[in-house]
Amino acid sequence: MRRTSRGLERLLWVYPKTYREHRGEEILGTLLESAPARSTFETLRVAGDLAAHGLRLRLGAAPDQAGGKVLGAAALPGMTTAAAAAVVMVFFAQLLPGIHHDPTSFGPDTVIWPALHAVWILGAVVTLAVPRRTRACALTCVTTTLVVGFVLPPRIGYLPSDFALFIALAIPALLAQRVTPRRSERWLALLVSLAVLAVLGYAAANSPPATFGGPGFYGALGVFAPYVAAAAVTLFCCSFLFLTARRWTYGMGLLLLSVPCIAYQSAVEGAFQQPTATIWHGTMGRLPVMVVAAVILVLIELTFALGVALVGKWFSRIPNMPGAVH
Amino acid sequence: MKEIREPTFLVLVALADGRRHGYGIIQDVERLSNGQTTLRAGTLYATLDRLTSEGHIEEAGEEIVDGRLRRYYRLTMRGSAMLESESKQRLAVSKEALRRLSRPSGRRPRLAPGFA
Repeated sequence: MRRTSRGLERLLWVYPKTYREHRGEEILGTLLESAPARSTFETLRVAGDLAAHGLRLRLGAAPDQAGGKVLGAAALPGMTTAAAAAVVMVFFAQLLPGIHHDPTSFGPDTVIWPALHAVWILGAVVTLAVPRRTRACALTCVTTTLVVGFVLPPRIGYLPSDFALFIALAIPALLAQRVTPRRSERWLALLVSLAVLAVLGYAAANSPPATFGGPGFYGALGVFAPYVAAAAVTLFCCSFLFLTARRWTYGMGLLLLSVPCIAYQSAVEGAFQQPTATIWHGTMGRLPVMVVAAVILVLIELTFALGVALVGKWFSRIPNMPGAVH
Repeated sequence: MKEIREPTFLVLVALADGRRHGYGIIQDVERLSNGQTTLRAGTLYATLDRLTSEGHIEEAGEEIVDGRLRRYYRLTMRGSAMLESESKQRLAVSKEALRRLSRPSGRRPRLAPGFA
């Protein structure tokens, strides 16, 4: 019993300090009272439940905290904007003469990217339109993520070097988390998306030319882009897992991830057409507003991440908590 | 009115007849739901935090039992009013469901034309 008590006490360190000071003993008492009735498996589930609650408080992502409110407020417009940007990508960036590498070729550029974007748009629309608890959609999203993440990269011979890959992989995974009714399925979706990211990271590190940001990412800002995207994807996967499932919390993630990513893809592809030019030169004659939007939105993304970190800092006070330090 | 989820509703019901502490609420919720809903500590305290901040419940003393702290909670006037309103609404829906099921055609699905 003493060992259990010590283990549970250690687990409480996942909570912010002020919360732990106010509730720690009480939670510990409740856990110890219910301990004799629990199996080992149930104890693990209780530990997971506590960890999720504590992390949610620390991240500031509880529904009554600033992070949760920001996610909730900006989500639906974000979803709409991101979907619109994806449409722009498919119908303009990929198909306009001069932007496409070779309109007559039949390869990854002409087939895979439009297909991935189409899947993503379809997923976004379907998720908005269908009832929340739709397993078929979740299954489709997870399957798509698995296929795209594990089957396609080795077959196409090189790693497509742009943000759209992150989007194509992350969005279905996030949508899967959005529509799955069971926590175990959301865990599966999260693990799948993280596994895919790991595979992509490995592939990027081993594909020539090996650059800091991976192939295709160069320039003062560009090299950081994949890492920002990966961090954001991971952050959002975790946040969505802990947040109460709400339709429009997803839009914020899509806004923060998709628009800058897609715009960057547009810019990077332009740079490829003029190998000696920089990314910024490569954007000439294309959609300058997308590039402007990309910079602004990347800044917003970074600001948002910083804001979440500050709001949910480890020793933040918990609003409306009796006994909290104000 | 904001939708009340099942665990929240059960917590409010558990507190309807007097103050209870954390483990008491967990036990009562399990009993009320015939074992269908098991509140774990993280979920319970998230719910209690939210209900407290919304003014639906309040702390009602604490005591030490076997060296463990027990903090008690009770419904506020606001919480009682919300629980009453929600219960009436659920009761009305349940009554309507039973009334419809009591019709002869309500007990089995109708066959599509051509299959009768």
